[in-house]
Amino acid sequence: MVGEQAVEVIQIAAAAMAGEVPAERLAEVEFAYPTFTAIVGLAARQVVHALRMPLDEARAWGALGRPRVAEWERREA
Amino acid sequence: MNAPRNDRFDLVVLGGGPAGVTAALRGAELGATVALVEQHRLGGTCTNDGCAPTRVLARAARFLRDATQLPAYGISAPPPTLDLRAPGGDAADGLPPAREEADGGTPGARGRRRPRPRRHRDIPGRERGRARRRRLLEADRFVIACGGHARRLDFPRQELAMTYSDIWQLERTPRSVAIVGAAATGAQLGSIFAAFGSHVTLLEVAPRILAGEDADVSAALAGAFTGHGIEVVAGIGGIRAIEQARRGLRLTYRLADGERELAVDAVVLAVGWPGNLEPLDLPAAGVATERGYVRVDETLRTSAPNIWAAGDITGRMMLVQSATFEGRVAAENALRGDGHSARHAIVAHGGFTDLEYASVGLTETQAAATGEPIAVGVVPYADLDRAVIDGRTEGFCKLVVARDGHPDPRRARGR
Ligand SMILES: Cc1cc2nc3c(=O)[nH]c(=O)nc-3n(C[C@H](O)[C@H](O)[C@H](O)COP(=O)(O)OP(=O)(O)OC[C@H]3O[C@@H](n4cnc5c(N)ncnc54)[C@H](O)[C@@H]3O)c2cc1C
Repeated sequence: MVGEQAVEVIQIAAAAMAGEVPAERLAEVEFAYPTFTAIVGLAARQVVHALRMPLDEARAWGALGRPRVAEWERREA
Repeated sequence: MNAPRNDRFDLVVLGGGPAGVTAALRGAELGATVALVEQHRLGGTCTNDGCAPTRVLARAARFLRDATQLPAYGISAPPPTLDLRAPGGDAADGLPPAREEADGGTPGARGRRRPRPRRHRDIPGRERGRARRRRLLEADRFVIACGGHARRLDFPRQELAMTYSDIWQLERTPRSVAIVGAAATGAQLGSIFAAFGSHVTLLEVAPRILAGEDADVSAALAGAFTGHGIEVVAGIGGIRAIEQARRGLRLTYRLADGERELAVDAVVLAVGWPGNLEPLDLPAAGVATERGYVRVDETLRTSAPNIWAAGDITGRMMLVQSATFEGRVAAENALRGDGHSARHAIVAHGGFTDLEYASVGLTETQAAATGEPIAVGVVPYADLDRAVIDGRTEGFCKLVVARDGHPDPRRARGR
Protein backbone atom coordinates (compact mmCIF):
# COMPACT_ATOMS: atom_id res chain seq x y z
CA MET A 1 0.00 0.00 0.00
CA VAL A 2 0.95 3.62 -0.47
CA GLY A 3 -0.19 6.64 1.50
CA GLU A 4 -0.26 8.44 4.81
CA GLN A 5 0.80 6.24 7.75
CA ALA A 6 1.10 3.23 5.43
CA VAL A 7 3.81 1.67 7.59
CA GLU A 8 1.49 1.79 10.61
CA VAL A 9 -1.59 0.66 8.71
CA ILE A 10 0.16 -2.40 7.26
CA GLN A 11 0.46 -3.92 10.74
CA ILE A 12 -3.27 -4.69 10.68
CA ALA A 13 -2.83 -6.75 7.53
CA ALA A 14 0.16 -8.52 9.10
CA ALA A 15 -1.86 -9.36 12.21
CA ALA A 16 -4.72 -10.61 10.05
CA MET A 17 -2.32 -12.85 8.12
CA ALA A 18 -0.80 -14.19 11.35
CA GLY A 19 -4.28 -15.00 12.65
CA GLU A 20 -5.27 -16.43 9.25
CA VAL A 21 -8.29 -14.14 9.33
CA PRO A 22 -10.35 -14.65 6.17
CA ALA A 23 -11.32 -11.59 4.16
CA GLU A 24 -14.99 -12.01 5.16
CA ARG A 25 -14.11 -11.65 8.86
CA LEU A 26 -11.79 -8.72 8.27
CA ALA A 27 -14.58 -7.02 6.33
CA GLU A 28 -16.86 -7.27 9.39
CA VAL A 29 -14.48 -5.63 11.88
CA GLU A 30 -15.83 -2.29 13.06
CA PHE A 31 -12.66 -0.26 12.75
CA ALA A 32 -12.57 3.07 14.60
CA TYR A 33 -13.69 6.07 12.54
CA PRO A 34 -12.14 8.21 11.12
CA THR A 35 -8.82 6.41 10.86
CA PHE A 36 -6.29 5.49 8.21
CA THR A 37 -6.27 1.89 9.43
CA ALA A 38 -9.92 1.51 8.44
CA ILE A 39 -8.78 1.35 4.82
CA VAL A 40 -7.82 -2.28 5.40
CA GLY A 41 -11.45 -3.04 6.31
CA LEU A 42 -12.62 -1.22 3.18
CA ALA A 43 -10.21 -3.21 1.03
CA ALA A 44 -11.45 -6.43 2.66
CA ARG A 45 -15.04 -5.48 1.84
CA GLN A 46 -14.07 -4.84 -1.70
CA VAL A 47 -12.38 -8.22 -1.88
CA VAL A 48 -15.55 -9.82 -0.50
CA HIS A 49 -17.55 -8.17 -3.29
CA ALA A 50 -15.14 -9.66 -5.76
CA LEU A 51 -15.23 -13.08 -4.09
CA ARG A 52 -19.00 -13.25 -4.28
CA MET A 53 -18.84 -12.85 -8.02
CA PRO A 54 -18.11 -15.78 -10.26
CA LEU A 55 -14.47 -15.78 -11.27
CA ASP A 56 -15.14 -14.72 -14.88
CA GLU A 57 -17.28 -11.83 -13.77
CA ALA A 58 -14.66 -10.74 -11.23
CA ARG A 59 -12.07 -10.75 -14.01
CA ALA A 60 -14.36 -8.63 -16.15
CA TRP A 61 -14.85 -6.24 -13.21
CA GLY A 62 -11.11 -6.11 -12.83
CA ALA A 63 -10.86 -5.05 -16.45
CA LEU A 64 -13.55 -2.41 -16.03
CA GLY A 65 -12.16 -0.98 -12.84
CA ARG A 66 -12.78 -2.74 -9.58
CA PRO A 67 -16.06 -2.46 -7.64
CA ARG A 68 -16.04 0.46 -5.17
CA VAL A 69 -16.94 0.34 -1.49
CA ALA A 70 -17.43 3.35 0.76
CA GLU A 71 -17.24 3.97 4.48
CA TRP A 72 -20.88 5.04 4.57
CA GLU A 73 -22.34 2.25 2.49
CA ARG A 74 -24.93 0.01 4.11
CA ARG A 75 -23.49 -3.32 5.08
CA GLU A 76 -24.76 -6.27 3.14
CA ALA A 77 -26.72 -8.81 5.16
CA MET B 1 46.29 -5.02 34.11
CA ASN B 2 47.22 -5.89 30.55
CA ALA B 3 47.40 -9.58 31.28
CA PRO B 4 44.80 -11.67 29.46
CA ARG B 5 41.76 -12.50 31.54
CA ASN B 6 40.05 -15.76 30.90
CA ASP B 7 36.31 -15.87 31.02
CA ARG B 8 34.13 -18.75 30.18
CA PHE B 9 30.55 -18.32 29.02
CA ASP B 10 27.78 -20.54 27.75
CA LEU B 11 27.26 -18.16 24.85
CA VAL B 12 29.33 -15.42 23.26
CA VAL B 13 27.46 -13.06 20.94
CA LEU B 14 29.42 -10.91 18.47
CA GLY B 15 27.78 -7.62 17.50
CA GLY B 16 25.49 -5.47 19.61
CA GLY B 17 22.85 -4.51 17.03
CA PRO B 18 19.22 -5.69 17.13
CA ALA B 19 20.20 -9.30 16.32
CA GLY B 20 23.05 -9.51 18.83
CA VAL B 21 21.32 -7.70 21.67
CA THR B 22 18.24 -9.89 21.25
CA ALA B 23 20.34 -13.07 21.11
CA ALA B 24 22.20 -12.03 24.28
CA LEU B 25 19.03 -11.12 26.17
CA ARG B 26 17.29 -14.33 25.09
CA GLY B 27 20.35 -16.31 26.14
CA ALA B 28 20.29 -14.68 29.57
CA GLU B 29 16.55 -15.33 29.83
CA LEU B 30 17.24 -19.00 29.21
CA GLY B 31 19.62 -18.96 32.18
CA ALA B 32 22.87 -18.99 30.20
CA THR B 33 25.96 -16.96 31.00
CA VAL B 34 26.38 -14.64 28.06
CA ALA B 35 29.04 -12.20 26.84
CA LEU B 36 28.06 -9.62 24.24
CA VAL B 37 30.96 -8.15 22.25
CA GLU B 38 30.43 -4.85 20.43
CA GLN B 39 33.12 -2.82 18.70
CA HIS B 40 31.30 0.53 18.76
CA ARG B 41 28.02 1.28 20.46
CA LEU B 42 25.19 -0.98 21.43
CA GLY B 43 22.19 -0.64 19.16
CA GLY B 44 24.14 -1.21 15.94
CA THR B 45 23.17 0.26 12.60
CA CYS B 46 19.58 0.50 13.71
CA THR B 47 20.02 2.85 16.64
CA ASN B 48 23.22 4.65 15.79
CA ASP B 49 23.54 4.92 12.06
CA GLY B 50 20.55 3.70 10.08
CA CYS B 51 16.87 3.44 10.86
CA ALA B 52 16.62 5.72 13.87
CA PRO B 53 18.63 8.68 12.51
CA THR B 54 16.96 8.30 9.11
CA ARG B 55 13.60 8.29 10.80
CA VAL B 56 14.57 11.50 12.62
CA LEU B 57 15.36 13.13 9.27
CA ALA B 58 12.12 11.77 7.82
CA ARG B 59 10.28 13.36 10.75
CA ALA B 60 11.95 16.69 10.00
CA ALA B 61 10.91 16.28 6.35
CA ARG B 62 7.35 15.55 7.51
CA PHE B 63 7.26 18.73 9.61
CA LEU B 64 8.35 20.77 6.60
CA ARG B 65 5.68 19.15 4.44
CA ASP B 66 2.94 19.52 7.06
CA ALA B 67 3.79 23.19 7.47
CA THR B 68 2.62 23.78 3.90
CA GLN B 69 -0.84 22.62 4.99
CA LEU B 70 -1.22 25.05 7.89
CA PRO B 71 -3.16 27.74 5.96
CA ALA B 72 -5.76 25.14 4.98
CA TYR B 73 -6.50 24.72 8.70
CA GLY B 74 -6.62 28.44 9.43
CA ILE B 75 -3.12 28.67 10.88
CA SER B 76 -0.68 31.29 9.70
CA ALA B 77 2.99 30.99 10.55
CA PRO B 78 6.22 31.91 8.82
CA PRO B 79 7.60 29.12 6.63
CA PRO B 80 9.92 26.91 8.70
CA THR B 81 13.64 26.73 8.00
CA LEU B 82 15.92 23.76 8.54
CA ASP B 83 19.21 23.54 10.41
CA LEU B 84 20.65 20.26 9.24
CA ARG B 85 23.09 20.12 12.15
CA ALA B 86 20.26 19.81 14.64
CA PRO B 87 18.14 16.75 13.74
CA GLY B 88 19.57 13.29 13.72
CA GLY B 89 22.49 14.08 16.02
CA ASP B 90 21.90 12.16 19.20
CA ALA B 91 18.20 11.69 18.70
CA ALA B 92 18.61 7.95 19.05
CA ASP B 93 20.14 8.22 22.52
CA GLY B 94 16.74 7.69 24.08
CA LEU B 95 16.35 4.28 22.48
CA PRO B 96 16.81 1.30 24.78
CA PRO B 97 20.21 -0.16 23.76
CA ALA B 98 21.94 3.22 23.74
CA ARG B 99 20.28 4.21 26.98
CA GLU B 100 21.37 1.06 28.73
CA GLU B 101 24.91 1.59 27.60
CA ALA B 102 24.85 5.19 28.80
CA ASP B 103 23.61 3.99 32.17
CA GLY B 104 26.38 1.43 32.28
CA GLY B 105 23.62 -1.12 32.62
CA THR B 106 24.48 -3.53 29.83
CA PRO B 107 27.11 -6.13 30.49
CA GLY B 108 29.45 -6.60 27.60
CA ALA B 109 33.01 -6.52 26.44
CA ARG B 110 33.95 -4.00 23.78
CA GLY B 111 36.37 -4.58 21.00
CA ARG B 112 36.82 -5.80 17.49
CA ARG B 113 36.69 -9.50 17.35
CA ARG B 114 38.43 -12.02 15.19
CA PRO B 115 37.21 -15.58 15.71
CA ARG B 116 39.89 -18.19 16.11
CA PRO B 117 39.60 -21.88 15.49
CA ARG B 118 38.47 -24.14 18.30
CA ARG B 119 36.56 -22.55 21.11
CA HIS B 120 38.76 -19.63 21.97
CA ARG B 121 37.98 -16.03 21.15
CA ASP B 122 40.72 -13.47 21.53
CA ILE B 123 39.66 -9.86 21.62
CA PRO B 124 42.03 -6.96 21.25
CA GLY B 125 40.18 -3.90 22.43
CA ARG B 126 40.19 -0.53 24.06
CA GLU B 127 38.26 -0.03 27.26
CA ARG B 128 37.10 3.44 28.12
CA GLY B 129 40.23 5.12 26.77
CA ARG B 130 42.55 3.14 28.99
CA ALA B 131 45.39 0.93 27.85
CA ARG B 132 44.61 -1.61 25.15
CA ARG B 133 44.28 -5.04 26.52
CA ARG B 134 43.39 -8.44 25.32
CA ARG B 135 40.66 -10.41 26.82
CA LEU B 136 40.08 -14.02 26.06
CA LEU B 137 36.53 -15.27 26.07
CA GLU B 138 35.72 -18.94 25.87
CA ALA B 139 32.34 -20.38 25.08
CA ASP B 140 30.64 -23.52 23.92
CA ARG B 141 28.49 -21.63 21.46
CA PHE B 142 28.70 -18.42 19.49
CA VAL B 143 26.26 -16.23 17.65
CA ILE B 144 27.72 -13.95 14.97
CA ALA B 145 25.57 -10.84 14.54
CA CYS B 146 28.01 -8.30 13.11
CA GLY B 147 25.63 -6.72 10.59
CA GLY B 148 26.75 -5.16 7.32
CA HIS B 149 27.97 -1.97 5.71
CA ALA B 150 27.15 0.18 2.71
CA ARG B 151 28.51 -1.24 -0.53
CA ARG B 152 30.69 0.99 -2.67
CA LEU B 153 30.77 0.51 -6.42
CA ASP B 154 33.89 0.11 -8.48
CA PHE B 155 34.15 3.05 -10.90
CA PRO B 156 36.66 5.88 -11.31
CA ARG B 157 36.66 8.35 -8.39
CA GLN B 158 33.97 6.42 -6.56
CA GLU B 159 35.50 7.77 -3.34
CA LEU B 160 33.92 11.14 -4.16
CA ALA B 161 30.52 9.59 -3.48
CA MET B 162 29.00 9.42 -0.01
CA THR B 163 27.11 6.53 1.51
CA TYR B 164 24.25 6.96 3.95
CA SER B 165 26.74 6.98 6.88
CA ASP B 166 28.34 10.21 5.60
CA ILE B 167 25.01 12.02 5.52
CA TRP B 168 25.12 12.74 9.23
CA GLN B 169 28.26 14.85 8.68
CA LEU B 170 26.49 17.25 6.28
CA GLU B 171 26.18 20.75 7.68
CA ARG B 172 24.10 22.10 4.83
CA THR B 173 21.58 20.57 2.48
CA PRO B 174 23.25 20.04 -0.90
CA ARG B 175 21.55 22.06 -3.64
CA SER B 176 21.54 19.02 -5.86
CA VAL B 177 22.15 15.38 -5.11
CA ALA B 178 22.23 12.21 -7.21
CA ILE B 179 21.25 9.08 -5.36
CA VAL B 180 22.43 5.86 -6.92
CA GLY B 181 20.07 3.03 -6.03
CA ALA B 182 16.33 3.45 -5.47
CA ALA B 183 15.52 0.56 -3.16
CA ALA B 184 14.42 1.24 0.43
CA THR B 185 17.41 3.33 1.57
CA GLY B 186 17.87 5.32 -1.65
CA ALA B 187 14.17 6.10 -1.97
CA GLN B 188 14.04 7.24 1.64
CA LEU B 189 17.09 9.47 1.37
CA GLY B 190 15.84 10.93 -1.92
CA SER B 191 12.49 11.78 -0.43
CA ILE B 192 14.15 13.43 2.60
CA PHE B 193 16.60 15.50 0.53
CA ALA B 194 13.76 16.66 -1.74
CA ALA B 195 11.75 17.80 1.29
CA PHE B 196 14.84 19.65 2.53
CA GLY B 197 14.97 21.56 -0.76
CA SER B 198 17.63 19.65 -2.73
CA HIS B 199 17.12 18.90 -6.38
CA VAL B 200 17.24 15.10 -6.33
CA THR B 201 17.96 12.66 -9.16
CA LEU B 202 17.28 9.02 -8.34
CA LEU B 203 19.22 6.59 -10.50
CA GLU B 204 18.18 2.94 -10.54
CA VAL B 205 19.48 -0.02 -12.54
CA ALA B 206 16.23 -2.00 -12.23
CA PRO B 207 13.41 -1.06 -14.60
CA ARG B 208 11.50 0.55 -11.72
CA ILE B 209 12.21 2.07 -8.32
CA LEU B 210 11.52 -0.10 -5.25
CA ALA B 211 11.70 -3.10 -7.54
CA GLY B 212 10.93 -5.55 -4.73
CA GLU B 213 7.54 -3.96 -4.09
CA ASP B 214 4.24 -4.41 -5.94
CA ALA B 215 4.41 -2.80 -9.38
CA ASP B 216 1.54 -0.42 -8.51
CA VAL B 217 3.43 0.69 -5.40
CA SER B 218 6.53 1.47 -7.48
CA ALA B 219 4.46 3.39 -10.00
CA ALA B 220 2.65 5.42 -7.32
CA LEU B 221 5.91 6.28 -5.58
CA ALA B 222 7.57 7.26 -8.85
CA GLY B 223 4.58 9.53 -9.53
CA ALA B 224 4.68 11.07 -6.06
CA PHE B 225 8.44 11.60 -6.26
CA THR B 226 8.14 13.27 -9.65
CA GLY B 227 5.43 15.48 -8.15
CA HIS B 228 7.93 16.54 -5.48
CA GLY B 229 10.41 17.52 -8.16
CA ILE B 230 12.55 14.38 -7.91
CA GLU B 231 13.91 13.17 -11.23
CA VAL B 232 13.45 9.42 -11.41
CA VAL B 233 15.67 7.60 -13.91
CA ALA B 234 15.14 3.83 -13.86
CA GLY B 235 16.79 1.25 -16.09
CA ILE B 236 20.23 2.86 -16.17
CA GLY B 237 23.14 0.72 -17.31
CA GLY B 238 25.37 1.65 -14.36
CA ILE B 239 27.65 4.49 -13.31
CA ARG B 240 30.67 5.18 -15.49
CA ALA B 241 32.53 7.69 -13.33
CA ILE B 242 32.43 10.67 -11.03
CA GLU B 243 34.72 13.62 -11.61
CA GLN B 244 35.48 16.66 -9.54
CA ALA B 245 34.08 19.65 -11.43
CA ARG B 246 34.92 23.31 -10.85
CA ARG B 247 31.79 23.51 -8.73
CA GLY B 248 30.60 20.23 -7.32
CA LEU B 249 30.76 16.87 -9.03
CA ARG B 250 30.07 15.49 -12.48
CA LEU B 251 28.49 12.05 -12.57
CA THR B 252 28.33 10.05 -15.78
CA TYR B 253 25.87 7.18 -16.05
CA ARG B 254 24.89 4.86 -18.86
CA LEU B 255 21.54 4.54 -20.58
CA ALA B 256 20.62 2.17 -23.40
CA ASP B 257 21.15 4.93 -25.99
CA GLY B 258 24.37 6.37 -24.61
CA GLU B 259 25.81 8.21 -21.61
CA ARG B 260 24.37 11.09 -19.63
CA GLU B 261 26.09 13.58 -17.36
CA LEU B 262 24.75 15.14 -14.21
CA ALA B 263 26.25 18.14 -12.44
CA VAL B 264 25.51 17.75 -8.73
CA ASP B 265 26.81 18.89 -5.37
CA ALA B 266 26.75 15.38 -3.93
CA VAL B 267 26.41 11.75 -4.92
CA VAL B 268 25.08 9.17 -2.49
CA LEU B 269 25.49 5.44 -3.09
CA ALA B 270 22.65 3.26 -1.78
CA VAL B 271 23.46 0.09 -3.64
CA GLY B 272 23.49 -2.79 -1.23
CA TRP B 273 24.58 -3.97 2.12
CA PRO B 274 27.23 -6.72 2.27
CA GLY B 275 28.01 -8.43 5.57
CA ASN B 276 30.81 -7.29 7.88
CA LEU B 277 32.98 -10.31 7.15
CA GLU B 278 36.45 -8.82 6.70
CA PRO B 279 37.52 -8.27 10.32
CA LEU B 280 36.35 -11.76 11.26
CA ASP B 281 38.68 -14.55 10.32
CA LEU B 282 35.75 -16.78 9.46
CA PRO B 283 37.58 -19.49 7.48
CA ALA B 284 39.77 -20.08 10.54
CA ALA B 285 36.62 -20.73 12.53
CA GLY B 286 35.23 -23.02 9.82
CA VAL B 287 32.42 -20.61 8.99
CA ALA B 288 31.55 -20.63 5.28
CA THR B 289 30.41 -17.50 3.48
CA GLU B 290 28.39 -17.01 0.33
CA ARG B 291 27.96 -13.88 -1.83
CA GLY B 292 29.31 -11.63 0.93
CA TYR B 293 27.29 -13.06 3.81
CA VAL B 294 27.63 -15.83 6.40
CA ARG B 295 25.94 -18.96 5.08
CA VAL B 296 23.35 -20.39 7.46
CA ASP B 297 20.84 -23.20 7.28
CA GLU B 298 17.17 -22.74 8.17
CA THR B 299 18.00 -22.98 11.87
CA LEU B 300 20.65 -20.23 11.46
CA ARG B 301 23.51 -22.62 12.11
CA THR B 302 26.66 -21.87 10.14
CA SER B 303 28.93 -24.49 8.65
CA ALA B 304 30.72 -24.60 12.04
CA PRO B 305 28.67 -26.80 14.38
CA ASN B 306 28.98 -24.51 17.44
CA ILE B 307 28.44 -21.19 15.64
CA TRP B 308 25.14 -19.61 14.64
CA ALA B 309 24.55 -16.31 12.83
CA ALA B 310 21.69 -13.82 12.88
CA GLY B 311 20.62 -10.53 11.33
CA ASP B 312 22.02 -8.64 8.35
CA ILE B 313 25.22 -10.70 8.27
CA THR B 314 23.16 -13.65 7.02
CA GLY B 315 21.94 -11.56 4.05
CA ARG B 316 18.39 -12.84 4.42
CA MET B 317 16.16 -9.91 5.27
CA MET B 318 17.96 -6.65 6.17
CA LEU B 319 15.26 -5.49 8.57
CA VAL B 320 15.29 -4.84 12.30
CA GLN B 321 12.22 -6.94 13.01
CA SER B 322 13.82 -9.85 11.15
CA ALA B 323 17.19 -9.35 12.87
CA THR B 324 15.56 -9.52 16.31
CA PHE B 325 13.56 -12.59 15.28
CA GLU B 326 16.74 -14.28 14.03
CA GLY B 327 18.66 -13.26 17.16
CA ARG B 328 16.03 -14.91 19.33
CA VAL B 329 15.90 -18.09 17.26
CA ALA B 330 19.71 -18.32 17.03
CA ALA B 331 20.10 -18.07 20.82
CA GLU B 332 17.39 -20.66 21.41
CA ASN B 333 18.82 -23.06 18.87
CA ALA B 334 22.36 -22.55 20.17
CA LEU B 335 21.46 -23.07 23.81
CA ARG B 336 18.59 -25.51 23.70
CA GLY B 337 19.31 -27.32 20.48
CA ASP B 338 15.70 -26.75 19.46
CA GLY B 339 16.44 -26.70 15.76
CA HIS B 340 13.64 -24.13 15.27
CA SER B 341 13.24 -22.88 11.76
CA ALA B 342 13.94 -19.18 11.25
CA ARG B 343 11.79 -18.98 8.13
CA HIS B 344 10.50 -15.45 7.69
CA ALA B 345 6.79 -16.01 7.31
CA ILE B 346 5.06 -12.67 7.83
CA VAL B 347 7.30 -9.63 7.54
CA ALA B 348 5.63 -6.22 7.56
CA HIS B 349 7.92 -3.53 6.21
CA GLY B 350 7.86 -0.19 4.48
CA GLY B 351 9.56 3.13 3.92
CA PHE B 352 9.06 6.54 5.47
CA THR B 353 9.10 8.29 2.15
CA ASP B 354 6.57 10.88 1.03
CA LEU B 355 4.29 9.06 0.14
CA GLU B 356 4.90 6.28 2.63
CA TYR B 357 4.70 2.75 1.31
CA ALA B 358 4.40 -0.59 3.08
CA SER B 359 3.64 -4.20 2.39
CA VAL B 360 3.36 -7.63 3.92
CA GLY B 361 3.14 -10.98 2.14
CA LEU B 362 3.11 -11.46 -1.60
CA THR B 363 2.80 -8.79 -4.27
CA GLU B 364 -0.11 -9.22 -6.70
CA THR B 365 2.27 -10.64 -9.32
CA GLN B 366 3.81 -13.10 -6.85
CA ALA B 367 0.37 -14.16 -5.61
CA ALA B 368 -0.82 -14.76 -9.16
CA ALA B 369 2.32 -16.80 -9.81
CA THR B 370 1.41 -19.24 -7.01
CA GLY B 371 -1.28 -20.63 -9.33
CA GLU B 372 -3.87 -20.17 -6.57
CA PRO B 373 -6.86 -18.14 -7.84
CA ILE B 374 -6.75 -14.74 -6.14
CA ALA B 375 -9.07 -11.83 -5.50
CA VAL B 376 -7.81 -8.26 -5.29
CA GLY B 377 -9.34 -5.21 -3.64
CA VAL B 378 -7.93 -1.74 -4.18
CA VAL B 379 -9.21 1.26 -2.22
CA PRO B 380 -7.91 4.74 -2.98
CA TYR B 381 -7.09 6.92 0.01
CA ALA B 382 -9.48 9.48 -1.47
CA ASP B 383 -12.34 7.13 -0.46
CA LEU B 384 -11.27 7.33 3.19
CA ASP B 385 -12.79 10.11 5.26
CA ARG B 386 -9.74 10.45 7.49
CA ALA B 387 -7.51 10.98 4.45
CA VAL B 388 -9.86 13.74 3.25
CA ILE B 389 -9.96 15.40 6.68
CA ASP B 390 -6.17 15.32 6.93
CA GLY B 391 -5.68 16.49 3.35
CA ARG B 392 -3.75 13.33 2.51
CA THR B 393 -5.79 11.70 -0.22
CA GLU B 394 -2.93 10.34 -2.33
CA GLY B 395 -2.32 6.61 -2.26
CA PHE B 396 -4.18 3.33 -2.11
CA CYS B 397 -4.50 0.09 -0.19
CA LYS B 398 -4.37 -3.11 -2.20
CA LEU B 399 -5.45 -6.35 -0.57
CA VAL B 400 -4.68 -9.62 -2.31
CA VAL B 401 -6.23 -12.84 -0.96
CA ALA B 402 -6.76 -16.36 -2.19
CA ARG B 403 -10.20 -16.78 -3.74
CA ASP B 404 -11.24 -18.93 -0.79
CA GLY B 405 -10.72 -15.81 1.32
CA HIS B 406 -7.46 -16.91 2.94
CA PRO B 407 -5.20 -13.92 3.56
CA ASP B 408 -2.07 -15.70 2.33
CA PRO B 409 -2.33 -17.33 -1.12
CA ARG B 410 0.77 -19.41 -0.29
CA ARG B 411 -1.09 -21.10 2.52
CA ALA B 412 -4.61 -21.10 1.16
CA ARG B 413 -6.92 -23.94 2.15
CA GLY B 414 -6.87 -26.93 -0.10
CA ARG B 415 -3.30 -26.42 -1.28
C1 LIG C 1 19.90 4.16 6.35
C2 LIG C 1 19.25 2.91 6.85
C3 LIG C 1 17.92 2.93 7.21
C4 LIG C 1 17.31 1.76 7.67
N1 LIG C 1 15.98 1.81 8.01
C5 LIG C 1 15.37 0.71 8.45
C6 LIG C 1 14.01 0.76 8.85
O1 LIG C 1 13.34 1.80 8.78
N2 LIG C 1 13.44 -0.39 9.30
C7 LIG C 1 14.15 -1.56 9.38
O2 LIG C 1 13.58 -2.57 9.79
N3 LIG C 1 15.43 -1.63 9.02
C8 LIG C 1 16.07 -0.53 8.56
N4 LIG C 1 17.40 -0.60 8.22
C9 LIG C 1 18.10 -1.89 8.33
C10 LIG C 1 18.51 -2.17 9.78
O3 LIG C 1 19.31 -1.12 10.27
C11 LIG C 1 19.26 -3.49 9.86
O4 LIG C 1 18.51 -4.50 9.22
C12 LIG C 1 19.50 -3.92 11.31
O5 LIG C 1 20.20 -2.93 12.01
C13 LIG C 1 20.26 -5.25 11.34
O6 LIG C 1 20.61 -5.59 12.65
P1 LIG C 1 21.92 -6.46 12.97
O7 LIG C 1 21.93 -6.64 14.44
O8 LIG C 1 21.94 -7.64 12.10
O9 LIG C 1 23.14 -5.56 12.47
P2 LIG C 1 23.62 -4.11 12.93
O10 LIG C 1 22.50 -3.29 13.42
O11 LIG C 1 24.42 -3.58 11.79
O12 LIG C 1 24.57 -4.39 14.17
C14 LIG C 1 25.80 -5.06 14.02
C15 LIG C 1 26.72 -4.64 15.14
O13 LIG C 1 27.88 -5.45 15.11
C16 LIG C 1 29.01 -4.64 15.39
N5 LIG C 1 30.19 -5.28 14.82
C17 LIG C 1 30.52 -5.42 13.52
N6 LIG C 1 31.66 -6.10 13.39
C18 LIG C 1 32.08 -6.40 14.63
C19 LIG C 1 33.21 -7.09 15.15
N7 LIG C 1 34.13 -7.62 14.34
N8 LIG C 1 33.32 -7.22 16.49
C20 LIG C 1 32.39 -6.68 17.32
N9 LIG C 1 31.30 -6.02 16.89
C21 LIG C 1 31.14 -5.88 15.56
C22 LIG C 1 28.68 -3.31 14.75
O14 LIG C 1 29.43 -2.26 15.34
C23 LIG C 1 27.19 -3.19 15.02
O15 LIG C 1 26.94 -2.52 16.23
C24 LIG C 1 18.04 0.56 7.77
C25 LIG C 1 19.39 0.56 7.43
C26 LIG C 1 20.00 1.70 6.98
C27 LIG C 1 21.44 1.66 6.62
